[in-house]
Amino acid sequence: MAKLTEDIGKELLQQMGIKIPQGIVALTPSDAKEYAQKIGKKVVIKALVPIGKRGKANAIRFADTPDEAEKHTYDLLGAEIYGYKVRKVLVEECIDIKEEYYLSFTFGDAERGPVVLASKEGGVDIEEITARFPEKLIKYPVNYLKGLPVYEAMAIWEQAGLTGQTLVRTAQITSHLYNFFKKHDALMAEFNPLVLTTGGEVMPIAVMLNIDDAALRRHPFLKDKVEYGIERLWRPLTSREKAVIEADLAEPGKGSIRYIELEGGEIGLCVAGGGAGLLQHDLILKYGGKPANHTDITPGPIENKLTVLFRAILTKPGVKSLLVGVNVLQLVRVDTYAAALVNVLKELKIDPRTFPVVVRLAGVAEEEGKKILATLPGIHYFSDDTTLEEVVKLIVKLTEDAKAGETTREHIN
Amino acid sequence: MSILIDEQTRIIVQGITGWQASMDTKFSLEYGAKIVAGVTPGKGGQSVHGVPVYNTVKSALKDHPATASAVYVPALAAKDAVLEAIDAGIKLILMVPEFVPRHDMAELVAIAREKNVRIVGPNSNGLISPGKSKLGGIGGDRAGYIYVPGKIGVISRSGGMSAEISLALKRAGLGVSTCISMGGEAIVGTSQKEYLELFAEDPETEAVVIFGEPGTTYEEEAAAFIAEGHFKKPVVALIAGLFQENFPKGVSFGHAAAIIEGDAGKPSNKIKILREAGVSVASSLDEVPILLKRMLKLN
Repeated sequence: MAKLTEDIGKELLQQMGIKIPQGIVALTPSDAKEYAQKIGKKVVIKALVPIGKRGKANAIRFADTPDEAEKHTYDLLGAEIYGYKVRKVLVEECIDIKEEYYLSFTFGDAERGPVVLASKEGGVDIEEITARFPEKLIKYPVNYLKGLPVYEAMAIWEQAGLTGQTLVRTAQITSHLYNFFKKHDALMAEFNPLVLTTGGEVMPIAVMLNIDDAALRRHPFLKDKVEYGIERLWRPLTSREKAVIEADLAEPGKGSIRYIELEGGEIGLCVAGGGAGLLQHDLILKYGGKPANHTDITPGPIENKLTVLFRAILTKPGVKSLLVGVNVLQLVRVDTYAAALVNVLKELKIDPRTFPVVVRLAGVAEEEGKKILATLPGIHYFSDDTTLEEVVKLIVKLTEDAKAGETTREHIN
Repeated sequence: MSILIDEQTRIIVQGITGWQASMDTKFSLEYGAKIVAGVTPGKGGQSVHGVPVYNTVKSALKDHPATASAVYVPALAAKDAVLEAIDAGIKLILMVPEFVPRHDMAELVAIAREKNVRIVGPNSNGLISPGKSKLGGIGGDRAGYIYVPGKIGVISRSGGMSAEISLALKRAGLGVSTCISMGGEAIVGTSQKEYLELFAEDPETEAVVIFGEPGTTYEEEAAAFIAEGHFKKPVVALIAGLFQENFPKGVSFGHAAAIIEGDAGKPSNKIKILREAGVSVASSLDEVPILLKRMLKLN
């Protein structure tokens, strides 16, 4: 999921003609002061980081005066919120709120289609609504071919307890916001709160938008506004992770590589095949090993990508061994893997006689691959007569042996 | 017998001139699959490994009737290709591409339901009824070696694991009736429960192996189906990705769908619910054939 910061989500809402609070992005404290003056009333300063629950992290602050806006901005800029450095803030007019509702659109597993979640109790996060007011959370599956017409939205909000003109206005905007969710290929669009103002207007004052990365290429407006690769992580990227993402994006549609570093760990993993990779990771832990990273590889012509991937895995500090554990290859040649591996081992001056390397590769061009691996002594090679479980056991044992033997490795990071 | 495809199934390949489709077509023909035509817009009149290429599905079917299609077009063009196949009357559609947008899949699933069309995938490596036919790349150039004809149905969320499981069955002297790579995406055309419905009707399938991953509620749905007594044959499950529970929610280490967002997507929860439904859950790949043999009272 490509997560967008709130200012981008709001810009998109404005493009669709949906009314939102007046706001301006500030990059410096003095700008924030100036904008607060311009808005001319009480403002809220919101740190623009692509992650939720900012309120709990004290990253959303209210300012009665322009001077306060300047001070809050000074405090927030450069601070880290859940690992993300704040580089910009949103200076936004404070809305006089009468009631706060919750509205989101996501995809349901069982429905295999969009689902509306709506509650009259908004302003707190969805977990809290589910826990505190389960009976007040309405879940409604959308027929994708029909969309969400106003009359259906009306039924949802009527059930949620709204009445009169507020019900009508909320239903109308809900139908618009569903179209917004669909138009931007969102996996999740959350409007929390959707508010009823003291003036009787209904408007979203916060938006969390996760765009489907698979669809980003048909949304050129978002191209430079999204940080790639963070969708699967719980923290900012490391330099090695960034290198892998760059290499992956450089050749789109030619198979893909993914690389996630884990804290500590000793066994470098080049595992592939989605499920086969997950299974090997589970098995390494089961047999007492410590994975240093995880990978996933989608088959394709990926010579360059494999080189970059092996380099990332093997240069992570603390890595003591490598498992190349791949399900029977159906679309990549074994010699492609073998050549990339041997080249990177040579480049990094890693000697498989002291740094255990276990390879399980089977499939097209297996004989050619075997020959390439044999040029570097010490690599333990297996074909598909050995199971993934057996190679996992071996790498765990060899890693322990290498540690016990105190073999010092002259490995340039 | 088998489900979905057999030696009679006539297949077209959409996007046949691409590198992967062309390679898969070659291996499929060698395996004995009846690929009767290919489609690549703008390349009508050419041929790929002896298979004639047409500009549209309709013109291909006019000359070469078929009921199944393997779709290899790029992810963002996949929706259009599938709609074209549905319009032309194709009833079984394999979607190979990874990264098909979720909104496109929601639309296709809704249309397929209305038109009674079965979609396998996306992000699927295909399906095979060993000794009869295969649809898609499954097994590569060694499909005959990996997938031995037999009586076990295999439903896998991972294409690679479909091969590993079938090899493990082979080593144990067991074989496969039909093996399906159902695709690693959050929204797939056909769920595990729906494949179980088909295997329930297949007299030659005596047991089923399910390979599951974190995320989605497909395994939970299958467990409920079994628990309610709709599927009476032995089922062995292998669920990967337990380690992922040690990381924050919303993280995926593998397929796009392998994201834990609530309790439902947790492997430990899937294992628990499957066990309660009477499914035998293996703790490792090597244990799968052992459990199957025990349930089938072999040895």
